[in-house]
Amino acid sequence: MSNEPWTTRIARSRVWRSYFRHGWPDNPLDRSLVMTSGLFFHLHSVKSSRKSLRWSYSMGLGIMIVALFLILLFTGTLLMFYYIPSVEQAYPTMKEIQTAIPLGQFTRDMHRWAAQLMVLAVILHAARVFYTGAYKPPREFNWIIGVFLLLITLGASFTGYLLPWDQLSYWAITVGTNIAGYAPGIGDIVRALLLGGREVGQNALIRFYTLHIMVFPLLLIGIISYHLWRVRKDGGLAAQDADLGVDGDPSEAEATLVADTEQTASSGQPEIFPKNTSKTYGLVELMRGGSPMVGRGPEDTVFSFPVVLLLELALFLGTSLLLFVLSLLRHAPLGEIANPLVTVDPAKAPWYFVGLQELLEHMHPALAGILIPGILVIFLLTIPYLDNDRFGAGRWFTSTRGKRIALWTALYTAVVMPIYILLDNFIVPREILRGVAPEYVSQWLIPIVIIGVLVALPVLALRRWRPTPRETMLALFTVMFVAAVIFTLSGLLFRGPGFKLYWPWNMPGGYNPLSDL
Amino acid sequence: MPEERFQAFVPDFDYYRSLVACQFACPVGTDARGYVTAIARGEYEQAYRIAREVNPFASTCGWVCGAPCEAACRRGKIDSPVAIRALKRFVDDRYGVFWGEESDLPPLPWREQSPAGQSYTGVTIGLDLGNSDLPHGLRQLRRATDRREHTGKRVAVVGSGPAGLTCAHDLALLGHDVVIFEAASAPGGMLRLGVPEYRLPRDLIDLEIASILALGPELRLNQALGRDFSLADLRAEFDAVFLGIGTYQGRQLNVEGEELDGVLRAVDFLLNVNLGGYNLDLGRKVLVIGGGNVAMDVARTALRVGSPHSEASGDISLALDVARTAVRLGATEEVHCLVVEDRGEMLADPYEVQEAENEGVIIHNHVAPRRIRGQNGRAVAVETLDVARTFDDEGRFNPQLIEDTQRTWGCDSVIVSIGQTGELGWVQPEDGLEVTRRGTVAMDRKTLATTAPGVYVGGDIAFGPRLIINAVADGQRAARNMHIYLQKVEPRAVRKGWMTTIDLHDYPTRGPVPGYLRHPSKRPPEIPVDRRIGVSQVELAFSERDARVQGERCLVCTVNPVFDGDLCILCNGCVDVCPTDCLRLTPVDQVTGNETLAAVVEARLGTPLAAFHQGQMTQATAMLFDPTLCIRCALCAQRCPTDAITMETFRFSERIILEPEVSA
Repeated sequence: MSNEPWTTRIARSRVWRSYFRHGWPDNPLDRSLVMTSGLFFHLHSVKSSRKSLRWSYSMGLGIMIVALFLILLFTGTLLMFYYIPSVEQAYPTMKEIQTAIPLGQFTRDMHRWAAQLMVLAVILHAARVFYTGAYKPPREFNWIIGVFLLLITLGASFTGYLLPWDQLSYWAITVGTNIAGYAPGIGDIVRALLLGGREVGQNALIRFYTLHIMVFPLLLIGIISYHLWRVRKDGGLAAQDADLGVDGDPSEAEATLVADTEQTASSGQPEIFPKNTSKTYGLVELMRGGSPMVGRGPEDTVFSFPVVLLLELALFLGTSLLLFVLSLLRHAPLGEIANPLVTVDPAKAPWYFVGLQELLEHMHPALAGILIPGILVIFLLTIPYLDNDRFGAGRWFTSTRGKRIALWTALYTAVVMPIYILLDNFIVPREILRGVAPEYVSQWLIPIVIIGVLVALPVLALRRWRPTPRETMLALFTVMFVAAVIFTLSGLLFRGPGFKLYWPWNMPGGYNPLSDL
Repeated sequence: MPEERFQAFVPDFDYYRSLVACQFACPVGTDARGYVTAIARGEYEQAYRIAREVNPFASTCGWVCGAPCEAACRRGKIDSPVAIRALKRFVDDRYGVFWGEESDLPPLPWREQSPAGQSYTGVTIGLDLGNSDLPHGLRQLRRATDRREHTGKRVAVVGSGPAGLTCAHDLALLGHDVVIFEAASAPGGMLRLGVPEYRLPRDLIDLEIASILALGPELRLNQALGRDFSLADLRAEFDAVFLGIGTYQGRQLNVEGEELDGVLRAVDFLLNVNLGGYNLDLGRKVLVIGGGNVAMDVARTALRVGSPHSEASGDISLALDVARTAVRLGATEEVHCLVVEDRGEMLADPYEVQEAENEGVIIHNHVAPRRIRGQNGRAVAVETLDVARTFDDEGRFNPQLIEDTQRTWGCDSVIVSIGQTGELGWVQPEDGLEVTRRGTVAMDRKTLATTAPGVYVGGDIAFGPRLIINAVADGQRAARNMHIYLQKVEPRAVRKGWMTTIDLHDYPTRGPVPGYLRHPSKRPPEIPVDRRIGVSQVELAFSERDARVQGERCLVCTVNPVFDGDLCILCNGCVDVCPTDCLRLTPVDQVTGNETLAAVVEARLGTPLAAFHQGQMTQATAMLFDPTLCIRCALCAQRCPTDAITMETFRFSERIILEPEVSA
């Protein structure tokens, strides 16, 4: 029949039918089938909640991370064709890639930028999940998985840092592994285990290489898959929970709901499963117990085909485009060949560890490099158990009060932390107390007290308003997050030669703090 | 503020029965789903048997039924209903009375020549396809005839319309001696007199009646109640009487000039045309007053007037020749319809209105006739006023006229088609027969018994004008109750329902035909407007290919997803995969309903529903199903990881068992 649409003709062809078990997905039935019968598509649900598709909710960070990871796998594989992980060959092969191999420089640029962006995206994704309360039950465990993914991502990025074997990577790894060496009691062993010796050398290179190209990618593939699977098993994105409970600010919640209803009404679609109307439903079965999936739709959903797939495609292409542009704007740096005899000044850790390096300036290395990061990781892991109320998930800051708390705590941290850095830099307790008091007073006691007080202050102030556990968590997390940003910025931009404070645009010796990125 | 909850109910026999919307909507309970799917599978003979089993006028209905099944069809909620009636006609043409198997017909007294068609006389057995096992099914009736000797009881049926003939058909099968009295010179009642020939061929009516008469009833033509005999005569001679005399009196406009020559009642006009042929002279310009289906029939028939009735009714070329002659002789040229209601309020089906317009009928809405002007005793014009609104705030018919909007419509004749009432002049006080103010006979709506013992009533004279299929249903119900009355037996209804699991591997062959959602709806073909002349049929039958494709559009509403809560792991997969959003997993505390529902919740979960509403800690989940949305795609059952969902088809039987009355 000639008058049928070309799509129908394609869907009726032998070739199409040999692969697909459904017709052209232009109707509800085939839109359902296309999602359940394809290998990649079936990772998605057939229908997606409108709310969880809102850009302002998830910002697409999770998908962006997957896109970056895939790009990393692809470009990394290409680089592996040429790169040789030996002290003698590493640097020359890097040079060859950048100068002799077609698109070699570009591939390396893409790989480098994707790695930097992935670390950034993972951190932002974690912050998004925290601030929308998506760690709350029943999603506690997926948050734990997420924390481990954050650590693995940092590990994957850090191990890649050494591979170019230039001065920058050599000294960054030296600084980084030195921090590990400060772990009380086991520091030396850990450091030796990482490097395969006392110094950064061939053993360290091959270890980092193996971790970087095999161990961490495999872990990431496995755990990211589990993380995504778990998202669906826990009932999808928490955005849908938003109107399940009474919200902290009902007027606002109501306003969103009204808007949604209008949207449904204007689209001419009949409302799906309305309550308290003359409409009745057959009660076809009763089951004991519940599950995170109960009550998920079908109202307020759209078919994942094609909306969600297009969003994913757009995110993937957008991420690729961003990497293209960044790669064209700025090449990945490759300095002089690594030389253990010539120290670079300043020797900075990768940007995501430079905050710790900054912290080192203010306290005992074991405290800054091991104890505080350890406490932070433990804090992250315990968040969903300290705040285990289901209420308030799926909304940014849970309520207007939560938003206010986050904002004020962020402002407070953004003010006190730079002051602390500056004061500690100009009135150095270690110098003042040298010989007056034992070292542990200046290196341990004073920093612990100051940091402890700075962190505790907003929480204590909050007690006046009888905060919920969620609000306490909001204050604590914000202090941690903003402090980390401040310390990272300070270490990255304001530390020059000798790791001394300068204005970024006024570094001595023409040092450009951004050149290490 | 009370918490918002889902209103739910517990599905039962009636619920599953009502889900098969086409069958539920049919007054005689025809398993339309059954024959439509049989057509989709190419089993045409079976399809005809399913249609015929419960309906002695299956062929007639295939041509002209008002099709309440199509109005109810669930497919209509997705795109448009399955063309059920036209599909029935498709199998009628193969196995129905019109073109079916050859048989020996007795000579038909009202015709010089027996019709050229043949009658289906194959054994009509109830095929256990699902829901064909009905109390008035032919199989049950045949069985009843086989079991019993002739009862020796004599029954009079007055009127040979669809109600009377159906009643005679069933009574004859039940072993009674039936005599049918018909006032007109040919049987059929409104089938013949009210339905235009271009819609329903006369041969078809005759064949359908002939096959009923072949069962034994005696037909006496030209015998009118009140003229040739009285009800008292009948009651003296017969053990029971069925009155199916129809409504033949046109309603009055009650305006000046209604008595003029050239003003016709719709019924009289149709009678004239259908008995006397199309050589009636209406003049060049005809005004039809009224906006119902009958008015549309009248208007379309009026357009055809002037082409003399031909024996070769199906021969289009001959009809065309005749029509050309008629045009030269001065046949009807213009037909205007004056309608009080607005276009959207018209009682006629929109499709009928459209067809009338296609054929050239000009429809004028919101005009009310005030006077018919005459000249030399003959109507020459109708004066009208415009109407502001037809119905008042309470929704009653109460047209508001606009002053000074008088219009005059010149015409050669006027046909008033604003409804009919019964003619009850024959009722005598000693009959003990109560009549209503609406001009119908009063009766018990359940048994159709009148106030006079042994006298039953059905069809239009009982309920006012309705569809043919309603009259058939009345005839069946009256026959059943007359049998109960005559034999002094006690009826007992036995209802059974079964759920049969369809294996998912068999689902493509036993459930809806794959691809069923993609087929667009198609109407049966029609002859072009410029060839619609005289008695030539307007609507043609589906081609075989079209019929099968249209049959495949059926959603097979006997099939339902059935859930097993012991297997369900609450994964929500079925809710997610459902293309039409008809499932929902819901915490029990969000569900409310009647006592039955509360009892079921408590029995199943061991906790009262009220306790869940009060926020009891135990969690429980309900599966809610919106059957109006389900398209029976079985994706839920395919997706279910634990096989907790099965697709099951519902069959039921409803029988009336007759037992000798227990003497008290």
